[in-house]
Amino acid sequence: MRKYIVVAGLSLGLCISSVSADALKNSLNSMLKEKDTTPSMVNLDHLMKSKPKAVRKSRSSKAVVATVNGHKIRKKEADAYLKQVTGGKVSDFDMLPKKQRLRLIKELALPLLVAQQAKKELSTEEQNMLFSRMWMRKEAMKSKVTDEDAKKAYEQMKQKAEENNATGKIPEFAKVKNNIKSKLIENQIIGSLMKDAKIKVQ
Amino acid sequence: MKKNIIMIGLAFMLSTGYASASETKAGNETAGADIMVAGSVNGMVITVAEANKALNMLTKGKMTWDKLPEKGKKQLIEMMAPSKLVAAAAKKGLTDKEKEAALAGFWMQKKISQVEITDKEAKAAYDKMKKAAQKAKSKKKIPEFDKVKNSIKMQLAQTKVVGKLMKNAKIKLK
Repeated sequence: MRKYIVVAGLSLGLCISSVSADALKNSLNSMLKEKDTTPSMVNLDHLMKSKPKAVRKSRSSKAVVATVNGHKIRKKEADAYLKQVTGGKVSDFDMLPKKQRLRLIKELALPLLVAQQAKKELSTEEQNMLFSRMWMRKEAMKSKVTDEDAKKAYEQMKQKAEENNATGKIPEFAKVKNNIKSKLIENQIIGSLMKDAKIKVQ
Repeated sequence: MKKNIIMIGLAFMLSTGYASASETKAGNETAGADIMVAGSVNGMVITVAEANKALNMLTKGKMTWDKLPEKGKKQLIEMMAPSKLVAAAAKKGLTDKEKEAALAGFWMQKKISQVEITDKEAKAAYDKMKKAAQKAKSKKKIPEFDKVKNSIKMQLAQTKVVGKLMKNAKIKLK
């Protein structure tokens, strides 16, 4: 299950991380971090340099450490996120100074805020379409369609096209392999849904 | 081959575009079309309005549900069924986290594409970064502005979107 969450998060992660991937940005990253006020970056340099002072007693993992638009964030989540962004070096949220706690929460809260806003702004139709797409992708990961299956389907289509004296050029297998595979997977998924479906026409 | 590609496109369109047409309140010319039932899939209703919307797209406005022969009606409902089934399966089969991620990714991209960043703004950001790089005596080669213009624009747009979101958020440390 965790794997799926990672995959699901990836789409958001991609659209955020890819934009900052250019060389210029990378070469200047540390400089920018000093001045950057965007909440999406936790200044890890600071975090690493300054020895974490025990500002206060560490709370229980169930303690609510922050609220974001009323949504409770528990220490467990904050700790896990801190551990992730520091590569396992720091994992107690309560050991951070207040400023950095706020920064971390802001960063941690971003996906939540985006999701909240998205729910508010996107129509039900759009939302369902997105769920459908995500579900199809999730299901597609489970299905096993081999290159051989794709090749077989390709040969069949090719034969048919030749029989029909199709005028268009038939593309190379390598070029359409992935398309054919996704189509076969889609057919499989839809097929299994349709198999037991009760369809009525008025 | 071309036909197959069209079919692929069609299946995809159906599996996504009509995913939840039942919630659409299209300003349909036929009064009550949004409550009249054209068919059903596992008990999920496909309204006449939805059927007409699909037909309109498929036939470029040449055909309506009322004029469609029985056989065509059956075909159409069968064609629309997968998207209904997928939508229902998705509601059940995705975790809340996955649903959130699906919405968030799309929303973010949509918002970013709506923010206008001028070349001037991008250039200013570029110059600032370049200056900082020179000051830091970075050994990495600084790319030409034209090469990074678009990614800078995207990044600025994202910063704006995120900034606005954060500004309106109520974040409290406990």
